Order: sequence, then C-alpha cells, then structure tokens
Amino acid sequence: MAESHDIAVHAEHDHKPHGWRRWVFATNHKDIGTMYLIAAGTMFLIGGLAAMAIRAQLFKSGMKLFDPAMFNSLTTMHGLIMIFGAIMPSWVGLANWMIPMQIGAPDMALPRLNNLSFWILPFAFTLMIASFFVPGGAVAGGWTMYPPLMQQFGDSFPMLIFAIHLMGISSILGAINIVVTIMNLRAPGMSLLRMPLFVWTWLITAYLLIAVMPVLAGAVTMQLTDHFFGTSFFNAAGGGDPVLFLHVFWFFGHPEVYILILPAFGVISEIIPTFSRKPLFGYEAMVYATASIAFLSFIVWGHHMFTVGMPVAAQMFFMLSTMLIAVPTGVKVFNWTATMWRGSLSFEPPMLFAIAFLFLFSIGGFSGLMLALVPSDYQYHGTYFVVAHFHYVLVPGAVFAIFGAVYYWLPKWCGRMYDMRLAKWHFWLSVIFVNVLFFPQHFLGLAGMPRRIPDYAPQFTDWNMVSSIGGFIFGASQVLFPYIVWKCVRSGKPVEANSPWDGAHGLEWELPSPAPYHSWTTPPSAAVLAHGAEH
Amino acid sequence: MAPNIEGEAPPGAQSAGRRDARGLTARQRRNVRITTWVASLIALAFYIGFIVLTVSRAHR
Ligand code: HEM
Ligand SMILES: [Cu+2]
Repeated sequence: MAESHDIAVHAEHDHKPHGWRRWVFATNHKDIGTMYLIAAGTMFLIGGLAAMAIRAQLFKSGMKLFDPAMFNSLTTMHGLIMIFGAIMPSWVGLANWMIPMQIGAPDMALPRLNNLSFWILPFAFTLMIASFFVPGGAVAGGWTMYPPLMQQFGDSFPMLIFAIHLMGISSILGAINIVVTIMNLRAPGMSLLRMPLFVWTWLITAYLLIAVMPVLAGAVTMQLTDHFFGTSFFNAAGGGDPVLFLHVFWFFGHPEVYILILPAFGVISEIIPTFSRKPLFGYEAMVYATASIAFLSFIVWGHHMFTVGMPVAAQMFFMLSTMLIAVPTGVKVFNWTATMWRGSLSFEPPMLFAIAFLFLFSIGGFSGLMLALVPSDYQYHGTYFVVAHFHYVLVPGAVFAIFGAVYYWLPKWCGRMYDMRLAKWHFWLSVIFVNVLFFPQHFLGLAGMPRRIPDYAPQFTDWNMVSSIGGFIFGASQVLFPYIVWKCVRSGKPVEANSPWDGAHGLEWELPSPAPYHSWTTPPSAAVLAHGAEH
Repeated sequence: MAPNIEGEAPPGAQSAGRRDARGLTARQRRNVRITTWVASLIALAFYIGFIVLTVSRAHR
C-alpha cells in the first residue's frame, strides 16, 4: 500500500487556509461537509425542541401550554425544519465528506458552487425561524402548505416561501454538483457498477432532487403570485383549483420522502457488510432496486390524496403503483438480511443502528402498505396513524441511518475513536424510547385521533401520555450524541490503522486516518482500487 | 482539487502529468461542463413545465 503511504506524506504538508476564511471561502469538500453537518445538527436541536413542546401540549387532554395557533405553528415548523433543515442537509454533508473519498476523486467537481450551496442555507434557516417572531406568528397550516389555508397567514407566509426557494436552490445546486462529480470524477477503473452503494443511492437521489425541487419551487411560487399578484392558479373564485396544488405538491412530496431515505439505504448497505464481514448480498440487485424505487416514486403521489375525490380508476392506479414499491423495497430488506446470514457478526454502534433500522423501517413500510389501500386509507387518513407511519420511516429510518453513518465514518474523519460504551447507551436509549414514543401513535390513529390538533377527547389520554414520556426520554438521550462526537474529536483514542473496522472495504478506508485535507490528489492505482474493492 | 482562496494548487496535483491545478484532465473539464448544463436544464424544464401544466389544468 505504497500509495496510501505517499498520501500520508502529502498529508503532512496539508495547506489549510486559517481562521474564518477557511470556512467562509471554503471550497474543500471536507470543510463544507463539516459545515453542513453542524448546520443540520443545529436544526435537529431546534426542530427537536419544537417536538418536545408538541409532546408537552399533548401530554394530557386539556393542557393549555400554547394557544392553538402557536401549537399549529409548532407542528408546521417542526416538519419543515426537520425535513429541509435537518435530514436533507445531513445527507448532503455526508455526501460531501464521503463521495470524493469513495470514488477516488480529489474533491467535488464544482467546489465554488459547493460553497454557495452551503452558504445559502444559514440565511434560509434564519428566515424560516424568524417567521415565528413576526406579527401573526409562523405559518401554521402544516408542512404541506395547502391553499387556501396557507394564504391566511401574515408576513410569515412570504418569508417561508422565500426560505423554501433558497433551500430549493441550495438543494438543486448541491444535487447538480453530486451528479457531475459522480459522472466525471471517478478514478480510472471505478466503473459505475463498482461504485459503493452510498454513492449509487446518492446519484439516484440527486436525480430525484433535480427533478422535483423545481416542482416544489413552482408550486410555492404560484401560491405567492396568487396571494400578491392576483393570479388564480389555486383560487377557485378566479377559476383555479386548490386540489391542483395537492397534485403538484405531492408530485414533489413523494419523491421527496425517497430523497430522505435513499441515502439511508446506501449507508445501511455499507455498514451491514462491514460488520458481517461478508460482501453485500446482491449488489447489482440493490442498484436496480434503488433505481426502480426512484422511478416508481414519480407515479404514486395520488396516495396522499385518496380522499379529495378522485375517480376510482385513479385511486386504483395509485393504490397498485404504491403497492408495487414494496417489491424493490422487499428486495433490499431481503438482501440486507441475506448479507448477515452466516456472517461473522459484531455489534459496534453503526451495526446496532443498522439492525434497528432494518426492523423499525420495515414497520414503517408495513403501515405504509396499510395506508396504500384505498378503503383503509379512508379510515386512517388525517389521523395519528399517518403520523406513526412517517415517523417510523423517518426517525428509526433516516435519522438512525445518519447516526449509523456518523458512528461508522467519524473515526476516518478525525482519526480518533469515540467512546463505544456511551455510543451504545445512546443506541439503547434511542431504540427503546423511539418505540415508546411512536408505537402508541398507531393505536391512537386507529382509534380515530386526528393529527394536527392541540387538544383531544379524554379517551385518548393514556397512549398520549405514554408517547410523550417516550418522547421526552428519547429527546433527552439525544444530548449524548453531540457530546460523544465532541469528545471523540477532542480527545478520542487515536486510530492508527487506516480502518478501525476489520471488515470494511472501500476506497475511503485506503486513505490514512484522519483523512488528509486533500484526498486522492493523484487517483488511486489499480492495486489500491482492487484492495478497496467492495465486492 | 479546488484551488483554495490563495489560488494555490494542492500538493501533488501538478506532478500528475496532463492534469490541471484541480487534478482534472481536459476531457474531464469538458465533461463537467456538459453534465452541469444538462442537469441545470433538466431542473429548469421541470420548473417551467410544471407551471405551464398547472396553468393549462387550472383554467379549462
Ligand atoms: C414502503 C413504502 C411506503 C408506502 C407504501 C407508503 C405509503 C404512504 C401513504 C399511502 C401515505 C398517505 C397516508 C395518508 O395521508 O392517508 C403516506 C404518508 C407519508 N409517508 Fe409513506 N409510504 C412508504 C414509505 C415512506 C418512506 C420511506 C417515507 C420517508 C422516508 C415516507 C414518508 C411519508 C410521509 C412524510 C407521509 C405523510 C405526509 C403528510 O401527510 O404529512 N413514507 N405514506
Ligand atoms: Cu407517498
């Protein structure tokens, strides 16, 4: 491994710009990745505080912590902050850190654009959060922003739309950068079907982003002109149609949920082989399954609006296309399980989060299938059952995968190992209390408790209390995570080897730890490539 | 590799034959340009396409 030794030598004269200029003018993919992760972590904290407030208000029937308008602002902003501020930027941060290292590239293809994509975000986030403090309070019509309700808020309405535009531009630019990087900067020999699955899933995610973020931008622009410039795209009085907004929004919205989860699939596909000490079962099937899911995600949007009054034929189409997604998703779950089968398993924190993902994401998949059935959805729609569904896919799904990814790659980033014992505490507290938090919401939904209400009939109290207690403990235990990361970066035990995980394959593990500021300034040789080969 | 703000090339980049300061070959630079254009135009097409589609469906 002479090559990685050469790189180690280079690493010693890494020229980093110093001080604030290193960050404000950053063009280095690792620096930008770090900034994304810090920004996302901050938004997780703010969105998490909103969640705690929501669970406090719902602790029992008759609570009067917030007035109803404020409560609705809290749920709306919680959703928007977590989706656009926390999960999406986390994935972009991980993409920045990992994709160049994994494909043997020196950096992202468009480093200055990369800087712009990131630096748009603090302004967007500030605008979004500042909308809490304008007269009338933050937008309170739900993260889906349906008209005409959405049109009834004060200054927070244009502020939110401008923030969405900014975040959309940032995502589109980031996605373009990722596509361009993956298509053009792979090291010689890194053919498409040799790419690690995190790179594959991100490539497909980036295409989804390029296609649907402009649709969201268009949808909110049209609301803006309806409100301020007298158009009537969605205004029935002027000949428009509010239901059209739902179509446009969900044409974005369903692919969006896969934007949140496909990179998670990639991470899980990296972690499970490492800690099973076996190659991924069915690599190519995984790639094709990801592509099929992405394709199908464009033709299922109607399942979010079965109850608006659409023709039965349309309901059947959306129901069947939705159920079809279970096939490639099943292929994935099967392949992960088969990878572990007879593997030499060990249970370090990344693997723990990956295994929890496998079980708990599947619960979300099953409740999704229930919601996909038109007759049952008439019953469940607009209830806590939907809330339970999407929190299962998003929290022990996407968020656990983010934790898993950080616990997997952090030793590579900083050349130090984190406190395993604390990380396992973080895992066990999270995995237990995420279920206490969200599982009862299935019961509440089936019993008829509507979502987005600040108060409820007394018979729903018991499970709400359980859910809130689960929420408080889950929330409190997340404090461990930044502490573990901070402690690791400051004073973790140095990792001497290129890889702390004996079963790990992939080019990132051919670089020394900590990863040098400039990685792969000369492309990896065929020997390094073969040594790092995934399968 | 991106030149950092001082515009200096990363170590090792120049020594790699025909590669420029960012470590890219001429062919890669051209392909980066083409791919960027194509991806941007796709995004623009979806933006305009969906507004036009909405107008045509809303006012029938
Ligand atoms: C296994 C595949 C899945 C199926 C069959 C499915 C199905 C559905 C259906 C039918 C609904 C509408 C329920 C209603 O409003 O009545 C829904 C809502 C939702 N799903 Fe899924 N889903 C799946 C996976 C996912 C994934 C992977 C995510 C995100 C990572 C996700 C996130 C959401 C969200 C956020 C909503 C609620 C949107 C809202 O109304 O606020 N779903 N899902
Ligand atoms: Cu959907």
